[in-house]
Amino acid sequence: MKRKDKALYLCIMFITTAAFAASHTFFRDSGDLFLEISSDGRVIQNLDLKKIAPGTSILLREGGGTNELLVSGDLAGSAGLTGSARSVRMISADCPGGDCLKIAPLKSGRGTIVCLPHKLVIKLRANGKRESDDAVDAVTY
Amino acid sequence: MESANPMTPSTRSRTEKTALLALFSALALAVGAVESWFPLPFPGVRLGLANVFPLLSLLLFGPGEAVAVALVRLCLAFLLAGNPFALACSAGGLSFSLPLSILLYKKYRDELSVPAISVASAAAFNAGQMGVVVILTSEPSVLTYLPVIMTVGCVTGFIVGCLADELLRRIESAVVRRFP
Repeated sequence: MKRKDKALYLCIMFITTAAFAASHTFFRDSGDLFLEISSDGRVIQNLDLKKIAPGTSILLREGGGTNELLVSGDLAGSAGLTGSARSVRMISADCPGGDCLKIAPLKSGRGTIVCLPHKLVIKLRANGKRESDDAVDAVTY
Repeated sequence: MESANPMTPSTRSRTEKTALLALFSALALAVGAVESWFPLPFPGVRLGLANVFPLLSLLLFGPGEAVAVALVRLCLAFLLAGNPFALACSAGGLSFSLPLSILLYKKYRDELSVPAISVASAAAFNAGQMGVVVILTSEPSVLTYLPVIMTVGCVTGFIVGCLADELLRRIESAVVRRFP
């Protein structure tokens, strides 16, 4: 180990820690969760997560390929009411490399699943816009 | 200083240097291909052992040769795999990591060890890679993945740096034995 190694390692540790802190501060959502699916930069679906039953799969045909998402989780308890007990993961994709299949499931309003070849971005957002359903939710009220 | 580096053009012919650089490029390509058979549990993350060879070229020959080995490997990997997104991500990463490693090596080679230069280079590669992903997806929230990829990248960068350092020592001692 040379003289300035420690300073460099400390600098990189600081940058990584700052990046961790920033990702928790700026990109963490809470409250009612919505599953936002974007293709090529535009939102194509915005689904209320608490209304999606666990075990539901969502088939996406975008960017010249096919991807399939699976919503899993628990309906019971207060977490079930906001959708925060659900998790969403990519279960199949015909993209080269299949990197999107290795991304950790989305839960509690954190993380993003990206399928670069199909230009798909899937993320959970709190209190997102409801495109098709503005009615009062009988389960929540 | 020239006598300290046995791989300078004064002691090695241009042909031998070209052959060695071609060997490094081929090894980088082969190691990269073998590595892709053993994916890590994180998307877009690899051990990066192929990066040993551009780093070794930088240490043995200089910046131009390091850039050449890295670019040859990048282009050949694209021709073999045909994945334009992997090419874009790697090119984005290299455009950050190569200048940084060259700068650190040229300015601080007496104060920074090879593993430290490699760790900084890996962190810069990850930042460039994520920059490309953000541009391609128009989605800044993918940056939440940056700390994870950077942490893994620093560990793999350290391993790559240690390997390059050891290879450098062995190559130099072998050359000194052959051309005392």
